[in-house]
Amino acid sequence: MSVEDRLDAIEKRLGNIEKHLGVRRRPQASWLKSWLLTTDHKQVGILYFVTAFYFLFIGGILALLMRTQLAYPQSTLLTSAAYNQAVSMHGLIMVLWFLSPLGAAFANYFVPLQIGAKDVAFPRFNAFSYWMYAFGGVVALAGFFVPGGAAAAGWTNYAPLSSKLFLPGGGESLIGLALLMMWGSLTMGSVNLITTMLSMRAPGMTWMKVPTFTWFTLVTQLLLLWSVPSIFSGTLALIVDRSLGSLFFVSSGGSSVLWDHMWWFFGHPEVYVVILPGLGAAAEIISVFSGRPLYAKKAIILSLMFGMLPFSFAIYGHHMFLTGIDALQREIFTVNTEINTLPSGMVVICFAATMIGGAIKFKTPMLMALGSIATFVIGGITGVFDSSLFLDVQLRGTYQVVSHFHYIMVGTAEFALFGAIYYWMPRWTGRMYNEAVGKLHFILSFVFFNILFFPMTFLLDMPRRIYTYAPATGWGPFNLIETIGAWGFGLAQILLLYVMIEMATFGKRCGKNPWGVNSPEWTGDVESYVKNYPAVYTTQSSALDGGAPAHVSTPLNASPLMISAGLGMAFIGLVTSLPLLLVGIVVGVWGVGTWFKDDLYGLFKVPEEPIGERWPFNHMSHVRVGVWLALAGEMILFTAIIGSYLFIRENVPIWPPPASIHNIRLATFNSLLLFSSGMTAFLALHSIRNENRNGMVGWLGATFALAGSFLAIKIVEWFQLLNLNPPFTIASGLPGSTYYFMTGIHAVHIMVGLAFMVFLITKGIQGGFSKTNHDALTYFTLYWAFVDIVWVFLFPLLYLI
Amino acid sequence: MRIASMIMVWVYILLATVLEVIVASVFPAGWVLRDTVISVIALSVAAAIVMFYMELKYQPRWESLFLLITLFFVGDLILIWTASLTH
Repeated sequence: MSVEDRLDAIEKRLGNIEKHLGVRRRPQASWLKSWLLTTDHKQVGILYFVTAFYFLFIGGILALLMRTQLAYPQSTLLTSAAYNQAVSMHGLIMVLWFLSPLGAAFANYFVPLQIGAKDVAFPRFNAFSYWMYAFGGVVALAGFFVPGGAAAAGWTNYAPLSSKLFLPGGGESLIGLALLMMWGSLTMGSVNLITTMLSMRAPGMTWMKVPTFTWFTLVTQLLLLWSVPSIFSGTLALIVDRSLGSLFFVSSGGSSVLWDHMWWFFGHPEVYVVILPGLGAAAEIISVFSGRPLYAKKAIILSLMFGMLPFSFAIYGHHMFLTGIDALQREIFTVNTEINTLPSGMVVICFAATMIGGAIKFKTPMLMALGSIATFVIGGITGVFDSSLFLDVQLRGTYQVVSHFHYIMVGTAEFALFGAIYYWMPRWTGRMYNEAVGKLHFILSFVFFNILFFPMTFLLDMPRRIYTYAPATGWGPFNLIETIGAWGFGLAQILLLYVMIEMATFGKRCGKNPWGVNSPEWTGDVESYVKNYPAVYTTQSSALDGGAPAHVSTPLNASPLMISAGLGMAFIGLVTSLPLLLVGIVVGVWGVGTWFKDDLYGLFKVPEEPIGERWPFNHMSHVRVGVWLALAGEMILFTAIIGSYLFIRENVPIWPPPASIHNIRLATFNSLLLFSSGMTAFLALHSIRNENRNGMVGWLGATFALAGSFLAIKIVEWFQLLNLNPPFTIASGLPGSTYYFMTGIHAVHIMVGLAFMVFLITKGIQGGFSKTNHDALTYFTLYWAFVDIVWVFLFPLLYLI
Repeated sequence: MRIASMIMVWVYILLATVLEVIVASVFPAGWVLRDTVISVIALSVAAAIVMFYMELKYQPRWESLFLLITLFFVGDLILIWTASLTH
């Protein structure tokens, strides 16, 4: 009997004794409560993992429905409307609710372990990210149950197809609201993980010693931080278009091109967001199973940081070649895209070089990693053709493109992440999978994947978004083969389910380090790792069984669940029923109140992390780093909003002079009020630095009054504009749409600031701040200065120019 | 930092805002130079807030890295979006 089995037996016996005596050794949260309210990064990681597979199941069923419909010409399994819903929801669910979160699952679990942190920087926000993701998924799926059905404008939600004119049903509105929750989740998650990696590395864990998976995760999260705000503002504009009648995407001034910019500024980096966590895992796997350190790790990191990361924002226009954008810009996008193959090629070459001369062990994780690289190369090569402006004009919207992006998004990402499951899941559970079943899973998956997607490469003339076709097209045989591949690929995943259940429950005990890897997530010994670096990743002949790293459990908290559940209910209620909307608001507000109450009375406390490696931000607390990162995201959000405005102004030849609509004197006075509130906020900070608590509260009160006045005058201004003759409304034209949208989002920021001030003033009155303890006020001042800066640009744009 | 310098910054922000309004009212709408001057004044006000109210002037230089890198993406976005319509 192994040690683990003996421990299990002892635990069981103790449980029986407890039951018999009617006592408990220590009070514990119930199993369900401990999962629902957890803020622990490991548990949150597992929640992401399980939920992602739930969405894989839904997305997979939709894929099989689509493929079965297309198996034969003129099939009647699905109507055109149902097919459109299936294809749209399949894409959205697979990309946003399965692939990205599966990477996030591993990042949550392993990044803190790899860098020697006890948890992520902001555990409560981490749980919040998860619940926003989960309930966002519920909101998205609710579309199937409302009149008109689920979203049907494709995963890109292209305008004007996504407008109320073409898709009046509730499903499209629900997907917009679900996406808002998803963008919130991704942004919070990225701020959290980046802060963790920048500020919470263990002593000695310098940048070059940081394990490769963490490096890939860093780049992934940076991509999210700078890309998501663009589509956040786009989704908001889409919702406002659908609900309040603004004209962003249904007029020639805004148009589909504006939506394309907003979507693809996020959408192309998202491709890297999907594949990089998998490639990071593949890097670890290839190194371990080749018995050699990763070849040219520095070159890989440089390729990621200075190649893929910036270039993914400079090549996204290749998705827009046929939208009529500027000719020179199209040529630049072609060149940039082709240049961007270099960093990808560098990664592949370094992976190959790692294996050369290595003692390769073809275990299932290694096979999966190799499958990922093989499909990455195939998808990459077909992508080079698509990047050509001239070929893209011919191939755009055909099944050749479907083949290309599935080789990247499914082949590369999924095989690598499956490899990560085989590689890391024994670390979670201490149990091993059956190698023969694992290998069979790989072989079947790889073969059927290629049967599914390779024939598509030859369907150069089949449009990708049709629900059926005529027999005379000759596409039937190809589609039949692809459908057989789809079913085979889908059914092969039953083996994955089997091995996951095996590793979770009845698999053979293997200890905590079955591969004998020396990196910290396996051994828990960061000190030895950094001391012996780079002599890591040399697999041992026998398992080390180092056990789990020291880990302090973070406390339970209900707020993340309550706010997300409330928001989810409110969003579904917004489209379906008023009572649900009201219940959602009550639950959400209650959750926010609980959050603030916990902060006010210090009820949610995370153990302080000892200070370790923080270069180059040695002088900054991790909270300050997090605030700056959040502000960086906000900068892109408002840049996208202002960028949309500039795009529209440039596109609309006649724009009414601002003075003919707005009261410039009132707006100027209001601006001076807001800018003065920046000064009073700073004076509040200055007061507490000089131990003047009354002064601090007084200046904060003044800030509140100035900001409140600004908001009140703004509301008066809106009412005056609505009562003009003719009324200047959000639906009266693009000047109205842009004005109310921009000032509205800014006003929401003012309201958030006012709520923050209520908290600060209350805490200040209770004596919660001192000369040495006033971080919350410092962060508020940063936020408030940012809100001022936004108005510095909005004021001249909307009222003067 | 001295409180007097913060008050001077505040006064500058208010005066600059008023100056923007004066420039906008004196010169004809649609004149490129007018809009350029207003934009430059707005940029100077934003810079003043970043340097003084956000205290980047008094922090180690690395702290401005967050801002500088994000400005790269800000520039990228504005450039691509506004240039995509010129033919």
